[in-house]
Amino acid sequence: MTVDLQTRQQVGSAPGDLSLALTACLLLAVAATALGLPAVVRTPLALPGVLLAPGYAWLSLARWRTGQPARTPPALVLALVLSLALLPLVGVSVGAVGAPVSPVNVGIGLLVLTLPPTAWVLLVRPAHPGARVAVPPFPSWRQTARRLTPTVLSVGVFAAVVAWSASWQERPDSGPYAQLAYAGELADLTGPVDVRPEEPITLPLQLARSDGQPWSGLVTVAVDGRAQDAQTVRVAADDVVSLQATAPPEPGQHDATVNAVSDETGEELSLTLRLQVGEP
Amino acid sequence: MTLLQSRSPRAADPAPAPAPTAAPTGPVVLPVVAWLIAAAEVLVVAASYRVARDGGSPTLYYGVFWMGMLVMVAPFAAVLLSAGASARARTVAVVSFGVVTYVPKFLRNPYGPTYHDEPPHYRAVEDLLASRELYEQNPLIQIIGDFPGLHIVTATVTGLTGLPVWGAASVVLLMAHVAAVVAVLVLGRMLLPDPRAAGLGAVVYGLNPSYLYFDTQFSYESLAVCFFLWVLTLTVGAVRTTESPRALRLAGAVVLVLACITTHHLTTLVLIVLTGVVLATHTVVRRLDPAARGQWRPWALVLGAATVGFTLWVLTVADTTWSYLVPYAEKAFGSLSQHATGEESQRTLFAGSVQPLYERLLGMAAPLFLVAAFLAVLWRTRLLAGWSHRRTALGLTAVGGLYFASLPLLFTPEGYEGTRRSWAFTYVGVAVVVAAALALLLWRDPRRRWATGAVAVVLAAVMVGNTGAGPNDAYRFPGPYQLGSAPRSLTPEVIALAEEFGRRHPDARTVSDRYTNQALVAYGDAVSAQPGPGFRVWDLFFEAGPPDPYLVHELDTSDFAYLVVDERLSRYVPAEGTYFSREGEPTIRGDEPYDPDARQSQVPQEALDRFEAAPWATKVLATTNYSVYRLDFTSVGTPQCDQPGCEVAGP
Repeated sequence: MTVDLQTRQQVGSAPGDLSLALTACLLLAVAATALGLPAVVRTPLALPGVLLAPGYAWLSLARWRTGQPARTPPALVLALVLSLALLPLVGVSVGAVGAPVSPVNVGIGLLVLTLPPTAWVLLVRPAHPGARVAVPPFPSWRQTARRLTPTVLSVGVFAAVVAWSASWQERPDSGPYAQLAYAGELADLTGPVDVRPEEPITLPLQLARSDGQPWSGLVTVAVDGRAQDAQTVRVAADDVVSLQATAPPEPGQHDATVNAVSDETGEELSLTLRLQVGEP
Repeated sequence: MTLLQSRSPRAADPAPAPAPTAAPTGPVVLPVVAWLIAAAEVLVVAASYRVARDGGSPTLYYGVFWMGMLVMVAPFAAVLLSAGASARARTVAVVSFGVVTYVPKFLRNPYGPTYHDEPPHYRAVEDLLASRELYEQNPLIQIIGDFPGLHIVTATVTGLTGLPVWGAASVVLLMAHVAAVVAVLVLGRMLLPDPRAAGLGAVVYGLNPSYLYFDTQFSYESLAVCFFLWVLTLTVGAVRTTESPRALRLAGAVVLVLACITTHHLTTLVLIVLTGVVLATHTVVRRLDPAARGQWRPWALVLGAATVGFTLWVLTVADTTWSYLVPYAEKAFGSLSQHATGEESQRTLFAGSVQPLYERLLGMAAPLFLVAAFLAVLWRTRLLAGWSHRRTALGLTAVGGLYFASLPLLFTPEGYEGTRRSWAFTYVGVAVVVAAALALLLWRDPRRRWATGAVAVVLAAVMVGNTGAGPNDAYRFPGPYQLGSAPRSLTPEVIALAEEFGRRHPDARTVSDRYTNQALVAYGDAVSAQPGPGFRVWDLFFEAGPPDPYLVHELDTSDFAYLVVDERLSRYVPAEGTYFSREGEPTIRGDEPYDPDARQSQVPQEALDRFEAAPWATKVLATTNYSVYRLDFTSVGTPQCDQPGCEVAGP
């Protein structure tokens, strides 16, 4: 087994280069988020920037000191774990100084942690110019591309199959459903509605179906069991249908009941409204 | 200080330290074929889920699942079992193993949170993104707000990438899942004389009952386990080095300890206990072996950092930690002592399970195999005879021994859950020791060609058995709607209801059963009531008469303004046995197989009908299976009083 030992000058500043690239990703991701750019721009920057840059920067500094390569697969995984670990610590620190724990603030905190080791590895030369750092030689881009392309493509196929398989997994479903709700101010009621004897009442309602199609059927309102208004309606999910009723003449508590019976399924939904009829 | 010092001089030679090598230039056919096979098997696993969702036979969907799963991991396991694979190929195989073993859970619910603990964490991330403040009380599991590590990570990834919360969560979990087995790989390379065995150790760890489903759920433990394993790995690395490399590894370990403290209480406590076990081993041995002096210090530092850090965290941030954890511990140990004295009934393994017989049998056989491998290593390698110079290995063996010591708790109703959760930690000791046994069998004698096949079969059997001993059928497979099952009751209907409810009544305080609550909290930003012996919300549902005046007082003064009723509560018995809470609610179902029609629901239909007529309830929203009532006790003069058991005259 040949061990390739090269001076830092010979191998260039490869760990620093990668660290710089990752830190740049983090910086651009924070900037893109602050500017409100879309996810398609931010995701490729933020994933390596957040999940690798901080850990890799510190790891490459440590490995630079000890002469170990920072681009081995286990080292990259350790860089990932350190990045994941720094996130909560930065978040807690941001919160502790009283700043909002927003993604951008945590990102800035990560940058503050990441820039010093990145700069150090890039700018500071070894104490002994002849110091040797054991790093594997880097093959040419063409060599790397030729070698990795089939594997990357096969991993891409795997990821695509996973995504496609995920697309046909569905939630447990108890079947089609419909929804009936009071709309408008009535939805905010906190108790029986105070009305005067024989006062007209308007009941705004919304009806929806699970398949998004308009709901059609008969909607009725009854006060103390006596039907007062009935409408055959066909309403889209966001539309409001209003029913009219009249409060009973007798003071006291009364019930207004709304029933909605679907034309297609015959399913009946109901709402109840308590009326507090005052003295005339 | 390697784990394995065989009687064979050849095997006893320490392996040379892995040196940096040039980038490999060998054929790329194998990884390509492996990934394409894995891609094909993803379809098989997905098909098994589809069969399960459509109500197919368990025999069929379990069979299809294992056919896909075992073939999916086989190419990567083959690399690890072969004698000639390079270190890089083994590392890539372990990473690939981590990736493909994430697939079953990912496909289980790619659309959003489903498992019992997932909606609260999902809500915690959404709360953090909205409020930008830490330590908010979570409506479903209050303590998780005090351990916001996972939520900070997920919220930051969500915010900076622009991905949806669930997408970001899946990325974070995948990373943690893969990193966990790589930690065991690196640990194995340090502890095992044959570096090839390290890959086996990683795979054996990946066979633990929590790895496939439990520790891939969106929960703080899933991230903390990864930190835990890397703390062990870096500390072992520190023990094996001196001066600057030791300091750097310890610095990394301490960073991970601090992250662990902010992420999960139980993982930190386990870390404290397990590092304490290893430190104790060092401390005892160093008195007899002068050369060992000083090697205990990394463990002491990590133990100290974890203990001091966790104590400070509990005192300053998470002051409810003990009151949350102690009842669980008391119940588990009380249950064990009652079980030992015969005062408590025994829990039946796999009771009520629809798992096929082979999975149940292998679930019981897997620990026996592991015990055999464990003892074989102890005897064959004379580990105990050489304890004076294998302190860390001995300590980790003791950690692995805790796995076997925990097994009796499986038979206690209260200790089962905690036992299952401990395996993700103790299994690291099992993995390293069992890998040593497998390495002996595989590579010590090249003439044993049968050994590779035998080991592959045993590993497959352990994977099937251990997975079967983990989460139950409802967690592992999709299925038809099932009332009272957390992973099978979040239907499009209840989610739409929760979203609509959240739009109309943001931050509303609600009373409902525990399964509907999951949707209301996760998707409707509701604050749900936490029923318990002192807050008997279930009385509203279990009794059709007028509500208890003290309960009315509690609801009224706590501003619980909405009651959300699943109209099917009167028709079915919940699959998980309880309607509202495991604390105090009358138990209605034990270990018998789940059959919704076999027993009558505890909720009478009259109790649900009563809401339609009660003057204190106004029905403001209705769907096919749910009703939402606005509560108002005061304006209609519902009797209430501020003492439990008090009686008040009606209006």
